[in-house]
Amino acid sequence: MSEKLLEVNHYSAEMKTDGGTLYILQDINFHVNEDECFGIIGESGCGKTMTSMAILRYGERLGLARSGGEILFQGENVESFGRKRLKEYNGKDTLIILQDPMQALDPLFTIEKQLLETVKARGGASKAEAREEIREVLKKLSISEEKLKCYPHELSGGMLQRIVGAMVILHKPKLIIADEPTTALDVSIQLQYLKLLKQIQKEYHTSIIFISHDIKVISMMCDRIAVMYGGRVVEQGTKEQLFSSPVHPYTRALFKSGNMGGIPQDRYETIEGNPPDLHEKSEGCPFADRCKHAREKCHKALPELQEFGDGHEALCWRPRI
Amino acid sequence: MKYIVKKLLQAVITIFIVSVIIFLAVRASGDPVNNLIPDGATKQQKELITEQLGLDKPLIVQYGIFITDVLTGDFGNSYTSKRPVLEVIFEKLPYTLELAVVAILIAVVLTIPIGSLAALKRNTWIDRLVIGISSLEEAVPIFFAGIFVIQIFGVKLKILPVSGADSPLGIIGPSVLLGLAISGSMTMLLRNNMIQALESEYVKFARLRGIAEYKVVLKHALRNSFSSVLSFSAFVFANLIAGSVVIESVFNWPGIGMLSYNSVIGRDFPMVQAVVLILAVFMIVLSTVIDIILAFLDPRIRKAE
Ligand SMILES: Nc1ncnc2c1ncn2[C@@H]1O[C@H](COP(=O)(O)OP(=O)(O)OP(=O)(O)O)[C@@H](O)[C@H]1O
Ligand code: SF4
Ligand SMILES: [Mg+2]
Repeated sequence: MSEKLLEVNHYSAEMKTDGGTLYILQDINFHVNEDECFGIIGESGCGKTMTSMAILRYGERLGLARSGGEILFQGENVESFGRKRLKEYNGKDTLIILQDPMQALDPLFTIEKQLLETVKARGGASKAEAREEIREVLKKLSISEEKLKCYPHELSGGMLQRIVGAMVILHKPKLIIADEPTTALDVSIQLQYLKLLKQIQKEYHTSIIFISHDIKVISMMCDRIAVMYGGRVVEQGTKEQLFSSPVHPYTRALFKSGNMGGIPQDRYETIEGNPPDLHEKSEGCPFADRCKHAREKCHKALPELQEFGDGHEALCWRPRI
Repeated sequence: MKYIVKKLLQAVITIFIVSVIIFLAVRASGDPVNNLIPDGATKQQKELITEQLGLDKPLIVQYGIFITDVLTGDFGNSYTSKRPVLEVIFEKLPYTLELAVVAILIAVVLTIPIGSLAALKRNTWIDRLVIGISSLEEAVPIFFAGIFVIQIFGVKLKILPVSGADSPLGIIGPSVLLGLAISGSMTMLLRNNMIQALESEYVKFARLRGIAEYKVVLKHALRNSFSSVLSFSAFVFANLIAGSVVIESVFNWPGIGMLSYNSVIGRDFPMVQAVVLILAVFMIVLSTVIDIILAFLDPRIRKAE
């Protein structure tokens, strides 16, 4: 593993709503190396998408305000970016793959127009060059050129997500954030798409933050993994560390319930109880109400972070070793 | 192309149905003969006129005559002025159209920047100001606002004519007033649609692809919200033509509103019948054209049909 591309250092952020302040992200701490795939897993609402929005500086548009910590991209604080640098950061350094490709593209423009627009935003190519480049990328992804004249509604979700894949290649970002990129796709083509992402990563030495509900997919894609719960990272480490010796009760429950080979649907139902209310900063461990191993201390004080090996850490008073 | 043919066919069928309804409605509204004969006329005189007007024949035959006349452009003569009805209508219609078009243009020109700005500055004082002014524009009755404008600009300041279309400045009063009234709801419509578009995934993705903000706003958000403004304009346009009575009578604007007002008052049935039919056809044609334009703007409509 080489240089750190992205560092999220003790980052916290809140959102003010009519119903009070929501503590959406709390003390998030992880980094992504160059040329690696970093996985984030956790149940719905735990803050995976909000973390990526904060990284991409889109959080502020959603009303998410930083309350602590910092996010560094190649050592630069992303919040220090002015308008021009931000455009470059979004247009060149990073690219997100959203969950639903049907919603991600503008219904009123052809695929070609939107691809051209992407190249233009990235810069460095005349219109003719851009067309040529697009043609090559499509060939590479075996997408027929006829699709260029289509509007998004005329294509399937799988095809649209591959078009987004083409945008990734055109973009050549240093960091891809794939936020549940296959959830909206047909099961039959999910695997194919994941392979495509892997291929892109290998070929262009891109880093990926891969967000998913699906343990199987995460284990297939990622080198290192963070497990999120209630707006916090509760455990992180390499894939091997997490799969062979998970220490946090939540991770263990997640891995046990998430049958490693089954169809990934609603499997969090098997962990009893509800995710924590983000309206209040919990005094103790956020998982305490649902944890089988909870003791009095767990309800009273926030656990301290403990190390369990090189880069393997968990937020728990009573880790399962 | 198939879509256009289909829309045109639909329009023709609608026009046919409307013509039947108007035909029946006029006949159901009472015996026109009673309005034509002098008081104390004999039964024979009455029957004679009924026969002359063809009202003794079966309804189907009457409709046949009516529709053939209409198709050959013969709407009959006005009872009051004795001139061909059509001639009078086409003399008045341009005034009404002019007023409606200018008013809507004013509304659209005001709406696009103001509605977009409110959406972009959502929940700030700018947005609240826009909402306030828009509701005011919607709420103030045009009749009173009209009198007010005439008093201030016509009578007191004497910079605008008090009424009528004789001076080229005559259109300013009614069109600005109408334009403002329309822009109230139009602005709110654009604002709300634009807010939705700005929160959409495709706008998010466009921004996160690094596309310049002005392009995101103009190309993606505004274009996706614009169809609603266009449909609304068509709706307003139709209503303006149909409902031109008030503004035209206030400003003594010699359009179709004044004409229908006068012909209803004067019980000029051929005129009323022709005005209603022509306006109906006009609106059907308009809505067809708008449908076709919308389909042109939005590929999804083309597909759906
Ligand atoms: N606009 C908003 N207003 C209020 N709360 C919000 C808003 N957007 C997100 N949240 C809250 O922020 C928290 C984190 O949401 P986030 O979308 O990051 O979850 P996630 O982990 O991506 O979940 P999922 O797996 O469902 O995508 C959730 O509890 C959610 O309720
Ligand atoms: S700190 Fe206590 S409640 Fe929290 S996960 Fe560990 S054992 Fe469970
Ligand atoms: Mg999410």
